[in-house]
Amino acid sequence: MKLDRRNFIGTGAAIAAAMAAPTVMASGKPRVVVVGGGAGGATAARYIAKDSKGAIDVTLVEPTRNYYTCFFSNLYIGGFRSLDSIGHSYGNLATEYGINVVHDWAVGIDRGSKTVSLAGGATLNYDRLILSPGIDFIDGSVDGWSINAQNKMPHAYKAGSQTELLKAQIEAMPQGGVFAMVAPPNPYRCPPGPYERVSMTAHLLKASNPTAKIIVADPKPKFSKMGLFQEGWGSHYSGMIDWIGSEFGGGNVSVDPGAMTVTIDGEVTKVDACNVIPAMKAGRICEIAGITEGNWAPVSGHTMQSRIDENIHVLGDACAQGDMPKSGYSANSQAKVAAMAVRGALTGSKVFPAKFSNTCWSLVDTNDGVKVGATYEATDEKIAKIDGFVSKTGESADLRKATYEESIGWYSGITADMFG
Amino acid sequence: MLKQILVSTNIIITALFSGQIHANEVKIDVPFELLELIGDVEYGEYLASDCKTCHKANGESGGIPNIHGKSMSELITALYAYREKIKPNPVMQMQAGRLSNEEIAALAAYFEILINWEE
Repeated sequence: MKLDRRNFIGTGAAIAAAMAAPTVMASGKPRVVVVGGGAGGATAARYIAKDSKGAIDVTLVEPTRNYYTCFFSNLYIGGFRSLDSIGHSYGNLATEYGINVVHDWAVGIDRGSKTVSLAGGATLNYDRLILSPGIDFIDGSVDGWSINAQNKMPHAYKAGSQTELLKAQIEAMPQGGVFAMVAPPNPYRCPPGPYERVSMTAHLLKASNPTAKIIVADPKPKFSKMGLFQEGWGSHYSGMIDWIGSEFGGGNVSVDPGAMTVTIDGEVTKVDACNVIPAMKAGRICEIAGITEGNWAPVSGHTMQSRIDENIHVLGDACAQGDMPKSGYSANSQAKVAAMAVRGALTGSKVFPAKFSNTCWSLVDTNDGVKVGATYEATDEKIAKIDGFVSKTGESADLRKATYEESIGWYSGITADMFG
Repeated sequence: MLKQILVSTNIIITALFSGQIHANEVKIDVPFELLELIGDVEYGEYLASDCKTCHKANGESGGIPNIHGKSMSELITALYAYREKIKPNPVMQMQAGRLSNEEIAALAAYFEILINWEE
């Protein structure tokens, strides 16, 4: 849907009016506000705008002007992608789809008056609200670590400068130095993510610092695609990686960012770089909105509507999404269900039974890619798995190369799907 | 809605697919009851949103083959072949595995009338 000149002028006038007055002027059309411009929010905004053919006013609130995808950020760490190549602008969403892209933070939600308050002072009115804010970290979940320490021991679990920082710290390690990771407990964003990161770090170190060591302290007894990663670590990075699971004290961890030590089950280790990935919860705006139970926002899989407020839909990592993993692919899949449900509610368009799917690709080493995926359906209880697959150990080099190349195609496809 | 008029015999369709993993020529016997279905274009449009996560709008990208501009018979054949696990690739077998005949027909009908995929 390209904007013609008349539409463009109309949109420009609305933006000018919004900047002059604290409240967005009502256009008479139903209004959707989307908070969070990642795999869930950007996709939802684009699909609602495109498929409603201008019948719905869509506002997307996203603080970053250039969005770095968490997915493929590990490939940047490993040297397989540039940072620029995983950065995306919101320009197309504004110009091609007429979406009101507002670079600001949502800091308040009044469900009674159906308004969103922004940090900059403006207020947005909504008929339907979509929250896709990703994750925030649980304070105190890693003993000794807080946001004040994230420059010494980055989480790099919200892509961008933190990812750049972590890569720089790995590259600056002395010969024979130690990289430590404190892995998160379930449930968390991107189940194979920490282990792809270990693989990419090992790949980087193997070339420039082959006597370096990697220690992973993990509160879990097992992890996503564990057999595949361990096969790959054994064949590509033999002797470099020491994974300490919960059975071996991996859950009993504290860190000292000042002294750069990690203590695992009482044993103190001096480290040269340390990636702390704390326990996670829904992006805080969900809690502020009053739609969380525990750490996550419960939803109905049929429409992605909050089980607490039918005028709010929650997508992606922030929601309690049943059997689906917290992944970019899942968020994009859920966004399409939500977009269809929102259009149906606001314009009477056809609504079909929700279908979901996910595939997670991970790179273990050059041309050695593995994947896991599943399809899902909505039940009244949850989003439930129907069928799935996972790569197998011992697969041919050709198949692993093809799997990696498939992921490149997927990345190109999903970012086009998100940003237009 | 499209009306598709077909010869009333079993049709054996040769599907030539280029792609990283399956550059082979296979003969696939698609059941007539699938071929004769008239697909719901609106339903196909909804189902197709899933395809667009990987199959980029403007053509081939990396290891993902281009499905833009494929004929109805090519798409029906490919989806049927993946669903019946005749063709390899676990992602496609999984995606197609949950499609009924009506859903395959809907997808094929939607893609056939899609004039400008760059939306």
